[in-house]
Amino acid sequence: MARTQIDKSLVGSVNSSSLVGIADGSNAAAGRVGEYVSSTFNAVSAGTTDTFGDATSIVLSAGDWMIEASGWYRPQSSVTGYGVVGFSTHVGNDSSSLVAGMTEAAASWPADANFYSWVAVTGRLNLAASATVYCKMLPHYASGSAPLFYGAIQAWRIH
Amino acid sequence: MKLYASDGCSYEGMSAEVVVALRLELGRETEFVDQATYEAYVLAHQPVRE
Repeated sequence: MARTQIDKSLVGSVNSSSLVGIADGSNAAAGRVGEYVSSTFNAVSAGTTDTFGDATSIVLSAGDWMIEASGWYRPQSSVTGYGVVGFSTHVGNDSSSLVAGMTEAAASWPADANFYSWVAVTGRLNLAASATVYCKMLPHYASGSAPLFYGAIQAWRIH
Repeated sequence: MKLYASDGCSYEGMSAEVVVALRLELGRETEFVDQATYEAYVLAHQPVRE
């Protein structure tokens, strides 16, 4: 039997109370709203002062994503400093596309090697093609060893 | 599926081949471990709360 392809959009409203979420501990399939991609990292050396590096990275397919990059900086000496976290598609010491409050955030620490400085940023990344997204890190410290960085980058397909 | 690396990194939503390539770009060799080994590493390296 011949079939006719219907190429029309349906426009209307959806009652949010009728949307069914999962309840079995699984993730949304690739390409579906709710798809989840993440990477965590543990005690990564934050590297040279005032230099961007990559704590970890993920690959995202084309789509509209909400991304959170977050972590704890642990200074390794009792000097004041600060740490930056962000996310971008640029690898290495490259601050391209980092925008304070949108894709980048920073937090400082006192002169206390036992301090943990929490830093996090959540933002949107709309990709027209698959891309690697890097969890950016930048420490600022005057002396001593590089701070350690513990954290994650997480992405949810939102649209 | 969640993947665990011997250096305390974990990955979700990506294939093993993709993860190996990502880590190689950042100069990290990859040895995948089971969840228990990963959790033991994280426990041993977690920030000390003083």
